[in-house]
Amino acid sequence: MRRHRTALLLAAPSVVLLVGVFAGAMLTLLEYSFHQYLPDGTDIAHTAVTWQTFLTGGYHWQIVGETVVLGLITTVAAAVVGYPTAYALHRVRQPRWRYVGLFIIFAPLLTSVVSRTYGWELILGDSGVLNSLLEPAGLGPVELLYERSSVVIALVHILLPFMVFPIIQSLGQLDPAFGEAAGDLGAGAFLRFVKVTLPLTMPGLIGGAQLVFALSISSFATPSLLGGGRVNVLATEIYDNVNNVDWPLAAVSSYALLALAVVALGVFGWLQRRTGRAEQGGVTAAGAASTGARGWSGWLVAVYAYVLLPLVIIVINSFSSVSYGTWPPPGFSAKWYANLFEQEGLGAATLLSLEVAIAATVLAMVIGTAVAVALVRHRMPGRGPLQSFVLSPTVVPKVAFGFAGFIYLHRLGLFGGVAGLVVTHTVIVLPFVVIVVTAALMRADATLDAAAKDLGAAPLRAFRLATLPQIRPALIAAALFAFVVSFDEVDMTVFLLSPDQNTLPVWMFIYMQKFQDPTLAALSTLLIVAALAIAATVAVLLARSGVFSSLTPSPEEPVEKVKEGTSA
Amino acid sequence: MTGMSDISRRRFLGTAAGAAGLALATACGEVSPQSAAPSASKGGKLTLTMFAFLGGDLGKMPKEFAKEYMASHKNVEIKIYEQSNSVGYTKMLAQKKAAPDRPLVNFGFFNAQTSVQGADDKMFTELDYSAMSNAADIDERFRYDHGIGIGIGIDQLGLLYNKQEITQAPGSWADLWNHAHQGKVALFSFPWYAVYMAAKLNGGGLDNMEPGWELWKREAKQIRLLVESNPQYLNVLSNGTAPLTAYFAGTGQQWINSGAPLTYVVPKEGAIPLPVNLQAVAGQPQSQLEAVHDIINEMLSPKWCARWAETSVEVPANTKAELPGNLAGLPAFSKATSDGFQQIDYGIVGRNNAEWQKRWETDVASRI
Repeated sequence: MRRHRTALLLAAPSVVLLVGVFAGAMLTLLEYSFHQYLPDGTDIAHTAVTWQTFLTGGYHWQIVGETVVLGLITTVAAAVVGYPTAYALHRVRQPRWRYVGLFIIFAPLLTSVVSRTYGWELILGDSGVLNSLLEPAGLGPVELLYERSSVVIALVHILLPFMVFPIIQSLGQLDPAFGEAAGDLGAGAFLRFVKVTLPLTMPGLIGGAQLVFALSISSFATPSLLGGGRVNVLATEIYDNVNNVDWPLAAVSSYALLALAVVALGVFGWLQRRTGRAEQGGVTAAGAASTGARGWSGWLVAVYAYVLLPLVIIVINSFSSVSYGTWPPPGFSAKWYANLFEQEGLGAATLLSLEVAIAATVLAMVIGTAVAVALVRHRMPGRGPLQSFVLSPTVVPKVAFGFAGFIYLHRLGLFGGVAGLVVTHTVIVLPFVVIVVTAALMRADATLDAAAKDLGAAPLRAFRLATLPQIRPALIAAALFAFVVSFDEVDMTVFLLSPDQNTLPVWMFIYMQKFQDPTLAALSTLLIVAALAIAATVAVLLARSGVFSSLTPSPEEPVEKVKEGTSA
Repeated sequence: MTGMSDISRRRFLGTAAGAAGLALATACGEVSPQSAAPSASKGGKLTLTMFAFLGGDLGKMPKEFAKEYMASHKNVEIKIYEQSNSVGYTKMLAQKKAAPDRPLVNFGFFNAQTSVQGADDKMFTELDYSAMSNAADIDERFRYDHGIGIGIGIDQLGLLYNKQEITQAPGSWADLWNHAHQGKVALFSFPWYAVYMAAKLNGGGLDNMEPGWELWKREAKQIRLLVESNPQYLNVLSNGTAPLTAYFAGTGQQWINSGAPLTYVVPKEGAIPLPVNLQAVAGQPQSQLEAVHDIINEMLSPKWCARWAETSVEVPANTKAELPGNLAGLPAFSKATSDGFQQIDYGIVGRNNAEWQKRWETDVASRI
C-alpha cells in the first residue's frame, strides 16, 4: 500500500467527491428501486417487484436494445466524420485557420440544446431548408425529422467536438520520426497512415468514442424532441417514469443504463490501455509538423456547413417577425431582442450559472487532473474499476441524478444553496476532464518527467515543468468542455434549484414553457456573439503564450524550438 | 519523505474517507433536512410560496394578485414558484418524503390529474369551504365533497388544426383516426383523452378503455409524432408537419392570437373539461394555513376569477364572474359548449394514469 501512496493521494479527492455525492445519490436511487408504487398512492418498501417487472418485460428490453443501437450508430458516425476532420485540421498549415476550424467544431456547444433542436427542426422538416433544396432537384421530399435518423444527425452534431478534440490531441503528440522512418522504409501515404498514424492516435479515437457513446446513450433532450416518440431510449423512459411519479421504475431503468455504461466503459478502457502501450520511449515530445490540408478543403467546408447551419438558422430566426418557427420567416423584426431585455431574472440567472460553472470547472480540473495522473502514471491496483467509477457519472441520465440528488442534498443539508449545485455539477463534468487529460497523458512522454526527477526535481516540480507543457492544450480543451457542460446543464439542475433560484439554461427552459417565440433564439445569438468575442480574446492570448504550438505546431516553427519550449 | 508528511497524508486520507463516509451514511438514513421553501417568518413577515403553472400567460394573474395582496397585507410575502405540474409535483413529492413538515410550496394552481394524484399521496389538505365567503359562488361541479381543493377555472380539450393545410374543417373526435389525416396527427406523449374518446365512440368509456386501446393499436400510423413540449407543438402545427391535434383551447387561442394559422374546434361529441384547482399543501403550520385560506378565498372572488379566465383563456369557475368581452364570442366559451362537456371522473383518470401511460407506450407508441 505504501508503494501506491502517491497514486492513492492523487485519486483521493475525486473518490471522496464521487463517493460522497454521486454514490450517495445513487444509493438513494437504489433504495427507491426496491419500492413499488401502487396506483392508489400506496408505497410498498423492500420489494423486488419493480426489478422483476423490468427484467421480465419484453418492452423494457426493446428500449435497452434501442439505446445500444442509437449509441453505436452515433459513435460510428461521429468517428467517421470526426477522424478525417481532426486529421484535416491537423494538416492545416496556417495556425489561425486551424484555430478557426477548431472553434467552428466547438461552436455547437455554445448554444443551448433547445435552440439547436429548434434549428434542426427547421432544417430537416417536411418543408424545411433541406427539402427546399432537394425538391427542385427532384430528390425530395424526404422524411428525416421525427425518425432515428434525425436524432443521430443532431447527436453527431453536438458530440462531434468530443470526438475531434481527443483525436487532434493525439495527432498533435504524434512523433513525426515514426512517419519519416516508415517513409524511408518505402511505405506510401496510405500505408503510413494505417501502420503508424492510426495505431498511434488510437487512444484519442477510443477516448472520443468513449465520450460519444456514453453521452449518446444517456442523452435525453435530443431523442425526446427530435425522435417524435419513435426513439424510445432508457433516458426518455426514465424521464417519463419520474414525471409519472413511478420513481421505483425510474430507479431500476437508471441502474440498467448504468450497468450498460459500465460494461461499455470497461470495454473502451481495456481497449485504451491496450493501444496506449505504444510509448514513444523518449524519442521526442514534439508534435508532428503540419503538412498542409490540400485535398481536404472540400471535406472541411462540408463539415463546417454541417456544424454551422443550425446556428445560422437560429440567428436568422431570431429576427423572425412571427412567434412560431417556419422557414423562411415571413418577415423580419428585432422585437425579440427588445423583449429579451424586458425579462425578469435573466441577470441573476446568468450570474448564478457563471458562478457554478466556474467553480465546478476549477474544482474538476484540479481533482480530475490528479486522478488522471494516478490512472496513467501509476500502476496502482484497481485502476480499471477506479476509471469506470470516475467515468460513471457520464452515463447516468441527468434527470435521474437530479431527482436522486434533490433528496440526497436535503439529507446533507445542502439543498437550496450554491454549494450543492457546485458539487453536483463537479460530479458531472469530472469525467470529461479525466477522459481528455488521460488521453493526453497517455501520449505524453513520461521519460521527460523521469529525467527531471533524476536531475533532482521534486515530483510536483517535475510534473509542472516536464508534463504540464505537453498536456496544456488538453487541459484547455478539458476546461472548456467542463465549463460548457456545466453552463448548459438543465435536465439535472431543474431538480436541484429551490423555488427562488434559477440558472440561465433553467431560465430558458422555463421561458420556453411559457412562450413560444424567438426570444430564446435572440438570447442564443447573443451568447454565440459573446462566446466568439471571449474565444477570440482567449485564442489571441494563448497563441501569444505559445500554448497552441504543442497541439499542432506549424511547419514555420522549427521542431527544435518546440522541443525547447516543452522540455525546459 | 519526512515522517511529518507521511502523517499529514494519512490524516488527509483519513479525513477524506471520513467525510465521504459521513456523506454516504446520510444516503442510507435520515438527516434533518434544511428548510426548502422560504416559508418561515422573515423580517416579521409570513412568507408563503405559491405554485403557478408554466405556459402562455398563466403566470400573469398569480403575479398581479400577489402584488395586490401584499400591498394590502403588509405582514405577508408571497413568492411565486413557476414550474410545470409534472416537474413541480415531482419536487413537491420528493420534499414531502424528505421533510413532510416543510413543504416546498404552501399553495397554488394544480390541474385535475395532479389534484387526484395529490389526494392519493396526501399532498394536499382539506379546505374549509365554510370559512371562505367566495366558495359558495363556485360552480358546484368544482367544489368537492372531500374538500381537497376548489376550482378557479376550466380549460378544455378539443381539436386544433392548421387551416391552411386542412381545408375541410374537422368536427368530430373521430377525425383523429380518419384516414384522410393519416400520418398528419400530433399528440402529446401520453394522450389519455384520445384513447378515452376512441373508447367512448366505440362502446366503451373510462371504466372500459379496451375499445380505445384496440382502435389506437390499429390506427397508430395516423400519428406523425408524439410531442414533448409546447414550442414543438406550435411549430409542427404551424408549419404543417402535423396539422391536426387534440389540444387545450386556452393555449391554442393564445397561439391563434399571436398569428399562428390555426383554428380551434369544439368537437360535436363535446369538449373534455379540464378543471384548474387551487390547493393548500399539507404539512404547513396552522398560521400559514390560515393565511392560505384567506388568500385562496380572495383568488376565488369574481374579480380575480375573471382575471384568471382572461389571462389563461378559460371559463371562470365563479358563477358571478363576468366572462371577459374578448372571450365571450369564442365558441369554446359558449353555454352550449359548457353544457356539452364530456363527463369525466378524474378520480378514475388519476388512479389509472400510470398504468395507461405504460400501455400507451407499449401498445401504441411502439407502433407509430
